[in-house]
Amino acid sequence: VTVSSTIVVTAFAIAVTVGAYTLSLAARRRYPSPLTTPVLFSTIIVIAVLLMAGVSFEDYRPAKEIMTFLLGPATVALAIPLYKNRRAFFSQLVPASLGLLAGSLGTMIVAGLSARILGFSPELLSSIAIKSTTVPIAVEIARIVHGNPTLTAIFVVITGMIGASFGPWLMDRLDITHPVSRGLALGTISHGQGTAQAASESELSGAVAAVAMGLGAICTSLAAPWLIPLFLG
Amino acid sequence: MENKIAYIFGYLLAARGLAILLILAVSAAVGILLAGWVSQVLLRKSPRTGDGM
Repeated sequence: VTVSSTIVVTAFAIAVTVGAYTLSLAARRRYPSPLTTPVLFSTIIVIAVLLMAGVSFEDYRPAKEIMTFLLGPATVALAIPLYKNRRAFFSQLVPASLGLLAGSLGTMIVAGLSARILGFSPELLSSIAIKSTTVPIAVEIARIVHGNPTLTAIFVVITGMIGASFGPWLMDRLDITHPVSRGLALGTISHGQGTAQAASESELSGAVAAVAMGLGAICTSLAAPWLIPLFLG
Repeated sequence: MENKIAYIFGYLLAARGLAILLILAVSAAVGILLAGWVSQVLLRKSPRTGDGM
């Protein structure tokens, strides 16, 4: 593989990713549905195009690294709306914290109990119970609770996609309209992907989701070593 | 590493795929609704804040 071919493939991969995202935004505006959420829709388009073009994940990796690098400043920029709304945000700290606790513990309990009822192995149960945490932290928690870090990473990504795609639709059905609540729910359960979705709804939702993603991870890392042994009996 | 992931996930998907996806979907839905609903109810009760702030 020559340097020039790597540059061409990387440029192609970035163009496909950005193009897929732009297309998914247009599709969402025209056909609003959980299936046209950018997180889900653009992922499917990117996978399909790369498969058809014969671009492997290894070939795609340089493009991914460039885009991930740009994600850093974008994530830090979420602090700006948070700063602008800091008074309102801190005045809502108690309701937001209780919501975060309810969501974070609730999802872990439902996943753990369901896995127990369905007869999953202890390793699988431990891996699936902590899936609402961002990948780097989930992988470390998996090691503590004797889960499988590889499986956990897969469950985290799928959970992010499900929550980011169907979460807003679900909240619309139940009249959950407050931007803080929507951001909190998406960030707590669907971590980075949920935060991206929340940021597309409003800048306040995105900022709250970013904070919730971090606090939710702390909550899960503290609760998992106590809760998971209870599910295992 | 990627082969290992594909192997493990492929095996699990074949054996317990539906159950795993069901658990992931249901637990995510419960978590989102709990976090969203509890915080919204408490925010609306709060005298200093309301919808849309």
